[in-house]
Amino acid sequence: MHISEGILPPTVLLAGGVLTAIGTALGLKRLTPETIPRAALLTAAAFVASLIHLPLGPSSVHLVFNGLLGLMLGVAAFPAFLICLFLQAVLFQFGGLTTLGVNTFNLAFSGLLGASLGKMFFRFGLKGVALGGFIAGAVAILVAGLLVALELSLAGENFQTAARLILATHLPLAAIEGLVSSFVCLYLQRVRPEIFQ
Amino acid sequence: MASPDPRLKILFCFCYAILVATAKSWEAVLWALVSSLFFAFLFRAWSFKLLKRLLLADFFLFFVVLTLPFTTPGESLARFGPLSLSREGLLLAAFIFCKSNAILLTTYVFLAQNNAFELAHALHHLRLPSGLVQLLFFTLRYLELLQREFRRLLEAAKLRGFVPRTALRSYRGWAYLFASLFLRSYDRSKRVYEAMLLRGYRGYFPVWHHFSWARSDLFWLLGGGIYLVSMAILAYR
Repeated sequence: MHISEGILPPTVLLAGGVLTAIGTALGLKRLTPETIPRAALLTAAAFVASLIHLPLGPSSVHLVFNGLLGLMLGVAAFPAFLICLFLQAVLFQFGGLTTLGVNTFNLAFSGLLGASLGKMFFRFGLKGVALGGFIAGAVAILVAGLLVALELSLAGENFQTAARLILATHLPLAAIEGLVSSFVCLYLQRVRPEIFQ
Repeated sequence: MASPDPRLKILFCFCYAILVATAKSWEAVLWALVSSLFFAFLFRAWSFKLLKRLLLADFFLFFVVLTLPFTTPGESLARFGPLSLSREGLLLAAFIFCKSNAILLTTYVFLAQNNAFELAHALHHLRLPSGLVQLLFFTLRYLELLQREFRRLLEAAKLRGFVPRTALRSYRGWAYLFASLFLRSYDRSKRVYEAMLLRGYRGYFPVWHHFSWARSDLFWLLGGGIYLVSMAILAYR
């Protein structure tokens, strides 16, 4: 979930900005003229897919795909999410300009963490890929939720209830994201394993 | 009057957002809110779409704004069972709500109505790293195309009996749709790269058109500068 403007204290905003700048610089260093179109198209695909609302009981959820982008792009997930979130802030007013750094860090860092955990299982055949995909997707969402809750509670004691509520909404999301990521990884591993290189 | 140069708009929005988001005084926030409403009138941005945008964008805010009045200690105004509504909490919630909406409105007025390619181009002129601007250009270029592609995939799946529901099978169906979207994007990126190599791509490409600094931009620069300074004085007094 994207943190909106005007909530976080300046120090948190600044820290998020600096961490995102470092991640983006590292990510850009890894991109070559050949991998730029690939990263951009996968980013666009994740953007499109994250706009789709899946039915969940009477409500609906949308996925984030940060674990999957972490698996496919590595550190380049930082510039990828920076662009996604910039576009969302500018075109749809989701998130915001001052929270761009914090929100990018939340999604890209958690995605990378989930992906590096999940990838460890990829060498154990298709079952490992299914498990690794689940871990990548679920951990990415859980960590993202934890980061949002942590940052929000840094804003003050009275923000902790909101932080807890937001963390609680991430639990079912993590299960669904893990499930879908697992199937996506299985499919891609069977038809185009080099996408995870 | 000519619309401001996109570079100016981006810089203005960033400075405005930072000032308003970190402002400590009510005067600054009210001034920001009033002037954002004025910007919306000046640039004729009022529409049903704008109101819908603001409502949707405020979703995260609701979590915060609805809990703050009950969790902030202070003078109690009303009690609902174990919950006590505090004056300080209500004021803080209103403070955050006004800040957030002022920034949303201003970014909508100045940035959302632009052609997104023009913004990407302006960022290039603002010396953003070339890799980042290229990523932005490519992502923008293929966003709509992939959106159409996904719609086609979904339609085809529905024709074959796919029903979106809360069920494991349905989620697997969604996952395979997403996977084929990723697969198609990946394959397309190879063709895009080859097509670009053919045209002499060497890690950068020339930009669309260059901006020229118009006389009216001096007016916007001065006006925007004076406005931001007044805001900064109010915000950090």
